Amino acid sequence: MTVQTPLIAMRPPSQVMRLARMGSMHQSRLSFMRVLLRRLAGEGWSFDRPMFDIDAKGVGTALYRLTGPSRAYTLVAFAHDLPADQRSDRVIATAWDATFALFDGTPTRDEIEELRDNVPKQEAGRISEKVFTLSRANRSVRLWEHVVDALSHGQQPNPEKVEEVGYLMRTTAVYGSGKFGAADRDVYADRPEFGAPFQAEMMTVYLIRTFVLDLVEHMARTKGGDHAIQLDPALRRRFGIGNSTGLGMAPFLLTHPILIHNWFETRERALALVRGRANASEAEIQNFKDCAARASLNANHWTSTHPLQIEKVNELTNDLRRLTQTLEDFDFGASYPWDRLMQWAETSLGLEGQEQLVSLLLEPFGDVVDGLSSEMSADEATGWAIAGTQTIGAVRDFIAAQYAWAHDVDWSAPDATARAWYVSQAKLEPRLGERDAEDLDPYEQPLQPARDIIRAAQDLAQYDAAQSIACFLRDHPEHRHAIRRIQIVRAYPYAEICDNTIDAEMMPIDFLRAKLSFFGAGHFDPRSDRWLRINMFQGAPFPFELAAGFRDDWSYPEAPTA
Amino acid sequence: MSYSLNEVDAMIRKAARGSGLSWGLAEDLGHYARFACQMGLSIETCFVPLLQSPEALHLALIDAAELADGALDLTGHERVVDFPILWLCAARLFAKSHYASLLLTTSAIQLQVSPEGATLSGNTDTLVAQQVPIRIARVDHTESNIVPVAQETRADISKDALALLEELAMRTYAPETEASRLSGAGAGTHDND
Repeated sequence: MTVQTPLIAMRPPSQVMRLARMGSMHQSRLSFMRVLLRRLAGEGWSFDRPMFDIDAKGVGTALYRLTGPSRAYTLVAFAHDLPADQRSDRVIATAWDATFALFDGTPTRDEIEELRDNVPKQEAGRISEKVFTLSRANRSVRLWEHVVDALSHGQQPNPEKVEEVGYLMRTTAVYGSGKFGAADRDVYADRPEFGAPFQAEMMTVYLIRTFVLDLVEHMARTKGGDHAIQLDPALRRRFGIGNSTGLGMAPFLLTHPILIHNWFETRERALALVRGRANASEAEIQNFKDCAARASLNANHWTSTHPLQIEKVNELTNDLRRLTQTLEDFDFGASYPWDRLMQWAETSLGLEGQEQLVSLLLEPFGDVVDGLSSEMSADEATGWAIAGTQTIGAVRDFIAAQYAWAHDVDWSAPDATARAWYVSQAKLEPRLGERDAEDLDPYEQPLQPARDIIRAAQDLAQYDAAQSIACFLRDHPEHRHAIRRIQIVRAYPYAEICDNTIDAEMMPIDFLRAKLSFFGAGHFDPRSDRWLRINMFQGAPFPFELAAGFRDDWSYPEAPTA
Repeated sequence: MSYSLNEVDAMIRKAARGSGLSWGLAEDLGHYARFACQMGLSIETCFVPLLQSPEALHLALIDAAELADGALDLTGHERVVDFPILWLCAARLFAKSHYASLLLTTSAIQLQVSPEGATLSGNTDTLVAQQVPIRIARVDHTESNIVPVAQETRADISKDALALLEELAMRTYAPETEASRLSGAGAGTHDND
């Protein structure tokens, strides 16, 4: 018998693409870290460490290699002895505890030396097309010293301290796609292992984590000699890699509209497929409940000192408590149980709980969801050409329908345009400033689609509806960016964030959390409204453990054993 | 020095914006530079001179956009243009987005483009000339005889050209003020926890 899957409508962009909701998202089966590990395990990638030449001070070079069905990739790690006063979370710095490059294949000695001349310099160095990513990391001093000290004395580190910080090193950037001379993504996009987004970057971080754990044990051995021990394997997995992410990442969601559509549309399609299942099996229900319980545990482990995040974690904890209570007598036997559960959440839970539930609903359905990850990449160039023959009337109609929310904004109110995105001369990085106080108009980046599209609409209103958009652009080339965007959004409806990105109350960390949840990061820890720290690969098996049996549930903490 | 095409696109876009172009046209120029590099043309000879004549560049980009946007009658379009390089790149964009083949000729060069690739012959020094008569015609896709060729994935840019591009790009960066320092974007300078 063929079971028909009814069409359950996807949540529309007007519901999904709101910053407050995007800033409440959680990792899921479609997150890029999980996609990577599923592939490495599923295809039986092998792992080795061709070089670990690190001295007693922790200075030296190491190579970490993953070999798949067709190709190998090597993380080249340079470890440094960084004076404490030079350690910084800033993306722009000049020295780090460790610097890294992900190399296509296995580098020769000459290639390693060339990398040594450039990789530690980061922005000041140049790399070749054989390098896919460039990265650097600094130690978490409070945890690093505790772990080295404990292990060197033959003791395991304090698990509570491990949980509190969660990582031994924190990256301040993982650059890919052509930065500093590295290969453009186009160069390797057709390789199956890089079919899903950000796989080279995730592979880099995954191997950095492996290196960092080896390095801390090496330093403990150097210090403690025969007294030193290695980390307990279960505790070892609780170390992820930290990351500090600031405003630089926020514009990405605006400058890659087709990619962003593909991420969100795929996630919504996966959700609709699950909601469209008429029945639930015992195994599916059990898997879902198990993940929900572990998500509660994860929320309990989630620490932050920022008032905004404390409030959000409290909301999540309360929502998960409500979910647990509801599940106790939820009628999974009635038809479309997952859809009913989601409908209940939409009226009973906050955004944190609703978005957590979206992730949880995908968990039991790997066979439905996992294959969709290959549809999440995009070639932005495919949306570049403007359809000049489209009529002005058609463009106006689309703006009226799709940007009704933007028409409702009072653009003459000072708060509506209080902010401006710009690039700072001092740091060469994207920044968000107060438009008037900082005189930013001349430097404004095109990162406020709502305002710009409304401006275009005002000029479009002066034209005959039957005229072509090409005629309009000849008179108004200043609207070319906005018209291109409108046409992209027409074809890719989840491409647009349905909020004013320059409003006085806009929270930049909402952009960051949306993107980082697609990466698969957890434990978002805002340090202000515009930068945060996260943890990556916490709980993941190490490369040498993948062959022993991989379970794709590592991103939820294990329930404590009795 | 060798640059990735993403770097080239970004450098040209920022320099174009710094020279006074609106964002949409600056983005077009960055995209065109990527196409030119893929065809093996030099940024230094094809784009840097254009950026030194921003007013002419502005008008020429608006003209070439009509081809890129598919707004021209291509049964045999003839006109006099500035900077044929822009028309070459616009033709490449049109061919890809409309799955079409075009033949573009001047007295000095001939360009055949198809969705799969492009072949250029003749004196490429004339690509940045002004007041050049040009003829553009749509040709039968099956007769275009374009064999897809490996596209260049890197571009060499000299220090002098780079300096000029960076000088223009610098105009798009806001000088630091007391207010911007205070609003900040990242962690404290020293952060050892």
